Amino acid sequence: MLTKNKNIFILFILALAGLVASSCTKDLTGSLPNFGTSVVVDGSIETNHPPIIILTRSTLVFGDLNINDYAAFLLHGAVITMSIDSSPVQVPLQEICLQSLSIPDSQKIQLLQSLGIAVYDSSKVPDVCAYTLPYAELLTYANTGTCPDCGVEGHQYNLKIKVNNQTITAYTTIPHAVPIQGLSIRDVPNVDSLVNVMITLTVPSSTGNFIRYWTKRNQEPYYT
Amino acid sequence: MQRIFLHNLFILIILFVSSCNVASAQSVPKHTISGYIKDTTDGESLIAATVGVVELSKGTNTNNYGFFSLDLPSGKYTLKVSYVGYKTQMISVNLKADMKLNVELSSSSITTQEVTVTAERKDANVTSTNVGRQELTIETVKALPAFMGEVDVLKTLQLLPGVMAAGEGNTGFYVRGGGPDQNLVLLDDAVVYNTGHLFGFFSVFNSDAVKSLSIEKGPIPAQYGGRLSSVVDVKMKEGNMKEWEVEGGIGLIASRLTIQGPIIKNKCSLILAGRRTYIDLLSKPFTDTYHNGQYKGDGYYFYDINAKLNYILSDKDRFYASGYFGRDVFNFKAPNGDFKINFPWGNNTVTARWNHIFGDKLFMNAMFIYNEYKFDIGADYQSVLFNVSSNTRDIGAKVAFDYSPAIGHMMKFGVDYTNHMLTPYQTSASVDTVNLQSTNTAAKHAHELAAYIADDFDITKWLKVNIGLRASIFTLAGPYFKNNFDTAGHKTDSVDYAVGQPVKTYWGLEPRVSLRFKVAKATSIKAGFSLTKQYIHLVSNSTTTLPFDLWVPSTQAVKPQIALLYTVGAFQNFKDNMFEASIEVYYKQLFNQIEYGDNKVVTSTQDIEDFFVYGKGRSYGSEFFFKKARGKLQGWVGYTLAWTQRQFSSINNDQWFYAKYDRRHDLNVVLMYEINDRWNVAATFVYASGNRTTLPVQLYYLNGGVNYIYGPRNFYQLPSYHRLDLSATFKLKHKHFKKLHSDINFAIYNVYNRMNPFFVYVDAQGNPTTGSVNVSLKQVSLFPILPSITWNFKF
Repeated sequence: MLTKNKNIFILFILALAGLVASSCTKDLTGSLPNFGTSVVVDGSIETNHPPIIILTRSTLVFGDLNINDYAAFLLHGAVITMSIDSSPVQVPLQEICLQSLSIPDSQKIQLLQSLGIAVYDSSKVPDVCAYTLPYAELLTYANTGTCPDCGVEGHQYNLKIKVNNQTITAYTTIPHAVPIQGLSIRDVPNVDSLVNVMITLTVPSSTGNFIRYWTKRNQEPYYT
Repeated sequence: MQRIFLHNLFILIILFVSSCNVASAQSVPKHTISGYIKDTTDGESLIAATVGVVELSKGTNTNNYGFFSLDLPSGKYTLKVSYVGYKTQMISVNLKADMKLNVELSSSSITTQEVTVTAERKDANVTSTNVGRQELTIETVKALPAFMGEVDVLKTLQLLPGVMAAGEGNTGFYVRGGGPDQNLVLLDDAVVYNTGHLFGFFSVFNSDAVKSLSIEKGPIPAQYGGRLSSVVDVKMKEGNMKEWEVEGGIGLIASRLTIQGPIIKNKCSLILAGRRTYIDLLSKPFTDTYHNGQYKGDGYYFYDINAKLNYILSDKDRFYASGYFGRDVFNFKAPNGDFKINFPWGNNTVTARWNHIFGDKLFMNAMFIYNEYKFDIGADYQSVLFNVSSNTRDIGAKVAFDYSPAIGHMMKFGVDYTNHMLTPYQTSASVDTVNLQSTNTAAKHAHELAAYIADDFDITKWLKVNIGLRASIFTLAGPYFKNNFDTAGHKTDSVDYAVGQPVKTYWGLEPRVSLRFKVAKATSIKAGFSLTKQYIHLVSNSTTTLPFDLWVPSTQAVKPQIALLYTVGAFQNFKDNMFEASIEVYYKQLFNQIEYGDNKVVTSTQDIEDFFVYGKGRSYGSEFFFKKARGKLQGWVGYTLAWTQRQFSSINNDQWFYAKYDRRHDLNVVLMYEINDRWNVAATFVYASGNRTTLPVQLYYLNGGVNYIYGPRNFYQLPSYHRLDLSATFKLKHKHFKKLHSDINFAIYNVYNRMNPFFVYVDAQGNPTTGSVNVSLKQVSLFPILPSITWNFKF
């Protein structure tokens, strides 16, 4: 009798624990209103580098996605121009697609990775297209490491995009680089080989307190 | 808005003039009967007890200290003294001169948990000018099913129409479309800035120390100020004047103990009440030994202490000193010692009061009030030390007068002053000898002064009016320092004010009017209007008050919030007040509302107000209430149909959107049944439309990651919320210890195990290395069915 009562008690405790543990997460189904799609502009210009603009469209948020379908989201045929500071000169940017480049897939994958596009299935390298400087300037860039319309510190770059019957404008300024004044390491307690890298620098008072930095390890690419 | 305000001010002045005429017309020679109404068993003064004059079919109510005053012509009268849950007394008086009359009422039964309501204040809900006021007896609060055995006054308030629960199991609430910071929560007249323990799942009020509670949903009476939407007034018990008694309870997660009694019989009493959770203590033996004691010292607990001293200095003078001290404490350290955190937070309040009666009619309550809320997070991550703290502190004084020039005529007037000190987030980090400190961490100081007058009187037999005017002035004063930034976040210049130097001053008149048209003996129609101002603000992304909440004062950029409320209601009682029914309709406009702007990232270099955007709001709806106040079966049904919207520049393309406080339907059913003298059962059922939230509606790839584009603000409504709770209370008999009264309360929270939404989030699942990702919407539910058992005792 005592054993029976004990079993009932254990069952009760287990049931109670089960109920408490059942506070849970579940899928919510039901359709959301369709808010259409948006043009996504992924543009950048760095010191001594040409501008790179990738235009894509957004997609509905819920459902299955395949990152290898990236090319399907690209927007083609946009008219994009860039101007520098208050200059009236508009530099046209041209669309260059990966498949038009006569380079091996391995280099294409590296190129995509440098643009922040991961390729997981090497047999399906997406045909990514980007808008950048005309070929002539790119050639100069390839030969000399810089070009007339490559990025320069302290200048403002204005972008004008005409696509899907809409005009999008944007601008950015390349800030002056902040020199590193000192570098040191500090051991992390209880972790054998881990250290913290300490950087000393002076933050200019006029540009806010945001510092962007890149790091790299051995022969790997820089990460921001 | 200015035009509306001037129009209403004009009406108010006309009414004040009328009030003076009425008062002077009634000023024939009279005598005054005044005194206190108390509980016969413990000497506690009874708030809002009714003293009726049978011959005149008129009467008055006791104030917050149990005092009443009646002005009557000479003659013989029968006074009917009654109070909820007490035996009514009929007292004959032959009034020839001013007289003192202290009355002690006896409870209809001695109980610990069960409902003892045997009488409602006769037609009080119909005859008074109060619109949007609800009172709850602590017995009712204790009779209802309790979440994890912890009786909670704020959660019981959420069962009233117009008062919406902020979330699952949460003590936070919204009143008529206002935010949680727009509720003035008072404990013995001290503001309680953070009303929740354990992130709001339990309120800071220990029900054993609470004597009464009421809520004003608006128009808020003139004696209250500083908040837009409601006033919750919680009064602590005064302490037993007759004999020492001990009361307490042992529950699943916490225990309570209250000791009260006379230090000098019928002259001076003391009450001490404490409560503590003990999950940390119960788990201590396991954490001490588990994983070689690596988790030793970890845990969470909260405790609170209430204390009150009540001293009767003379027939005309009383002194009270009360205090509350509560803390939540969370400690954790990772097993490898890499991460440690210590996180205490809580409120302290102190109130000292002196009651004095001038003559027989003028009752004065002078108060000194101190209250403070602070939190402090200290963390150590791999020898990098972080600390974040914040503090909200008020020191204030009030002088309030109640004056009754004639029967059915009550005036209230007084002055309030509060000195605010609001310390923003103090963040610091240190590594070795390197110390980082956030800028702009200095406390902000402000003075808030208000004077008010309110007059409640009969114009005709069927028309009663309550008019009030509150004049308030708020000054932000130095020391004050602020950096200014341009739109790109670059510092442009700074301003610096010396100690005491005014930085910015706001002032305003806040009129309030309520009218009662008595249509029949038990039927009335009421209308009300109020303009209220709020000078300190809580800006939060959450739906309720949280430990990290930061209160900010009005400054040059942050303007006082303003609300205009219009309300109309019909009130009807049936069957000699056994049933009460009411319908109230309201429309509320809100100005200078504050939100964080879209895409704002709070940084340590800028003042938090640099990230605010300002807008307006509106809320309208209707509230239905049906109550059975007597008999073995008691309870109520409350239903609210409401809309709440906000509009902000730069949010939602300047379009109106439904606020997170929007709740279309809100239904509450409360039932209490006395089976016999040993068993009581109770049930509550709640249904509410789902909370509103903002969800992503599109996604895109950028820099190799998936990013979201969010839809319009609060466009998505979560599934509806509904829940049934049950409880049963069994009264125990103690043959050998007859003074001991105790009961066992069994309660089940969420009886049918409804998985109510607590929040939703977007979940991306899949293996990026294969390129396949599934994005779905997930709902998190918090509490399944939760049984609890509590033993309550009193001797």
